[in-house]
Amino acid sequence: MAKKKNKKDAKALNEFLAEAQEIAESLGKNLMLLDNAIKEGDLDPELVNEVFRGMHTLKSLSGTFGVDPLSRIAHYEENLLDQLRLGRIELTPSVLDLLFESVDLVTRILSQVSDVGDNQAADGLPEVEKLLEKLHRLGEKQSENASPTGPPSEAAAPQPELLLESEVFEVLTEYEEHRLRTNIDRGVALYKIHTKFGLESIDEDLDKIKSKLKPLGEIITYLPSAEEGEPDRLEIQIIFALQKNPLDLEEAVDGMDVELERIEAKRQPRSVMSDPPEHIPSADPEDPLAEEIARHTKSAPAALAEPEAEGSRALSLRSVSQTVRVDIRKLDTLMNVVGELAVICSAIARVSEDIRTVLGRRDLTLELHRINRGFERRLAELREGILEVRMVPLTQMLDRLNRMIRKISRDLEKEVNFIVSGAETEVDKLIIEEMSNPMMHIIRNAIDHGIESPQERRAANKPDVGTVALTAYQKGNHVMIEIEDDGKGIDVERIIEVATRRELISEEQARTMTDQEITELIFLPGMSTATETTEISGRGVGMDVVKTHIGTIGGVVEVQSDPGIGTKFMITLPVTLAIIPALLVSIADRVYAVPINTVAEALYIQPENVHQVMGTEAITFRGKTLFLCRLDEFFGFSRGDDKPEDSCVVVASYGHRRLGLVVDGIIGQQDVVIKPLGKSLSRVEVFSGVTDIGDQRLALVLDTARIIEQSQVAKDRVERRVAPVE
Amino acid sequence: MPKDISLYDQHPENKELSKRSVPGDAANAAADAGRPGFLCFTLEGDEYGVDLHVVQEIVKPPALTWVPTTPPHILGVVSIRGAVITLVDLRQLMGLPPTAWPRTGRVLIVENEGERIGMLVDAVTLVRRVDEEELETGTSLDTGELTDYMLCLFRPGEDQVVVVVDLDTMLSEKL
Repeated sequence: MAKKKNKKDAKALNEFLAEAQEIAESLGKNLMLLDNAIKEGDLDPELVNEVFRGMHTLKSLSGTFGVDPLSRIAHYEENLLDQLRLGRIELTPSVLDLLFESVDLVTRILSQVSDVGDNQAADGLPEVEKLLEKLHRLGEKQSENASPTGPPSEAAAPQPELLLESEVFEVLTEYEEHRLRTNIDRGVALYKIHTKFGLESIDEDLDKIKSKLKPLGEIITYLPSAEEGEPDRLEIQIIFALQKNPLDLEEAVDGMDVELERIEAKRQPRSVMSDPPEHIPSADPEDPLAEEIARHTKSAPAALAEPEAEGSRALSLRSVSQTVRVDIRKLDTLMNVVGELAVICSAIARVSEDIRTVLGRRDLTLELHRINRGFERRLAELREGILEVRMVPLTQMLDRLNRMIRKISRDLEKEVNFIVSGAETEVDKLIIEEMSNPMMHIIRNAIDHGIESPQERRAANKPDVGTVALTAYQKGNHVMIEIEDDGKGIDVERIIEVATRRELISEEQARTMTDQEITELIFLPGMSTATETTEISGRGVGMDVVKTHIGTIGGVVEVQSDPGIGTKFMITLPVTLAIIPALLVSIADRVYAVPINTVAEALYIQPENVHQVMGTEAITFRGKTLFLCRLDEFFGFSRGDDKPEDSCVVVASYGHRRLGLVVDGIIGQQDVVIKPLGKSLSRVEVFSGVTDIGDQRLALVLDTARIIEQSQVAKDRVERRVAPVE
Repeated sequence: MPKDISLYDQHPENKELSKRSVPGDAANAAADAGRPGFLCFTLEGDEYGVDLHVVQEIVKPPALTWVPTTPPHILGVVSIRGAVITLVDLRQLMGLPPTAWPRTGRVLIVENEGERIGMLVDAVTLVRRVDEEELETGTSLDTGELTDYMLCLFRPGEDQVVVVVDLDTMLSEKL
């Protein structure tokens, strides 16, 4: 019983984590937008409000689930954001830094809680105290030089109390009042927009009108009221600050059940404040609308009119989301079921064949065959459908990258322009998760080591602002991601120096290597060339980790560098890990699968064409030496003399490296679902998993990259033995 | 296909299971609840037992796929209703001569550190329930000694000895 409860708790915690993570992500996204807005000097107050609301939700969520550090951060942040949206604190880049820092910390806390599976896992994190201290200091500093952005023309502008009926004015939240004031100060035309919605469609209708109004100005508030006699319709009045032409507004609401009313913002002397409200047209007691508003505001449904519940009201009025959140493991389970159905499908085909041969019922066989074909087709559709669900656009990862780039470029005082194209390219969710660290590392390196300081750039006739460009696109069964910078490129001399000093290559080797080969040495372990390790690029762990990481998800990373012009990393990724096309080959009557994306070609070889190069078997393939690896020997089969007369070579390529894998025969191509080997086989390196090939039989899937690497090591050893003799 | 499906599932109270119980015990099925149960099997003619609760199912040996570069006691991987399971040779783990493949034994599916493992045994005999005090541990043993991975033993009848295998320790150390 107790166990069951734990399970339930764990499920609730997971749901909380997923939701909190989503909020954190959207907070990060909005902060990036704010950052841009500050740079362009065009701050959308609604955006600040949106961030405030996100933080508010996060606060209540984390409070409910007892994630203490989170709710404390969110609490402080909410206060800070409240001050920001009320204009009491100015949104400067340093304040924004603090906000970014908080979101990063929130993300860290969430992942810690998620890793440990305990809501108290992140309690007592020292960074939390540091951040709270900073937030506290900011608060104190701000209260000293109180209200830096106070309305400059307060005396000249009319007071909002005079423009709206007191009943309406009183229900405005502090924030709404602030926005109203700001708009009046700017002399913006204010409108009251009256509209009626059916109760059923109110969410959608409100969203519709909001989206029409947004481009034209700012919605200060909407106040609901219940129209008597029309119980299923709700009247809403929107107080709107129009920043565009009144004609645009009329056009925007054309065709909608809407009444526009201008609130006259007459520039009155300050003394008017004490005057009776008769002076203000909209508050005229004769005005039926104003009266109605006043009456309806009072009788408005509590849930909608509650001014304190601003955060939750905004949430409830949001459009009903059309998406669901799914744990990716559930999709894995579904994919497995599809795999088994395919196996059943082939079993039915076999039985139908038996019906013909054993029972001689050709008609039944045909019928069964036809039905089975239909089943097969639907199955393929189902599989496609599940695969599609797993696909997410790269945008998810880019938000995180954007945040990181902003931080690094500020830390290093290098301004960087991050240009993205192809953000809509879709990749398996799992791949995106796995790729985010390697991508961060590459981009971090590009900014830290690639992009020069502004002074150096000027000297080299480059614009002060560096560029990092990310291009993503789909190419057949692969997704290509290219990360290019316009920095100084990779210093070949420096690589040689480090590589020889650390005895990764000999001096003879260095002399015979091309620049491209030398550049690729950056992927070797222990090749971090940064003279001093910085906080940004870390130490020790370098591009080798990036390469290994990308390798584990079946990807390949390559590099190109032009001195003085820049560096380009090209990452080739499979679109999905769930199902891949593979070449089935046989070795000593056993079936193995080679992922097609690592196969360049397959050919027959004659024994007489095989020659020895430096003690290793090789053939000449397209004018170049192709080293061979006899998989039967590589796997340690002992099969004496029963070797086949002729064999096939599968030309495997990984990055730009090639190796000829010698197999007995080629069976054909098949889409396979790769399943991981159990934990007990985690030491097995040369197989990336196993796949069902029907009939309850399994085929091991070759990890081509590992095999090339391992046989490369063997080849290098041979070379080293041979080299001194020369 | 149905033949491969487990004779019983995780619940030791399963009816299929009691069919295989010793007749005398079946009569006292209710009394059995508190007594330790052991799934018993043979290796090289000797009888062994494992804690009933760790065994998830028993299947006939399915098609085996050998995994190169693994130690000899790992026989390979098998597919059991879509799940890929590592199959180990219990004989070799117990220091007995290796199993010749293919053969007619049975595979016990157990869980070890979150992973399902298949263990090949010669044959499954039955489920035995014994009283706690009948279990002979290292100190109370009158003949011989318990070697590695043997938890305790009990004597269900004249000249009959069942050695209880410490699967947890064995699998954790050997895999």
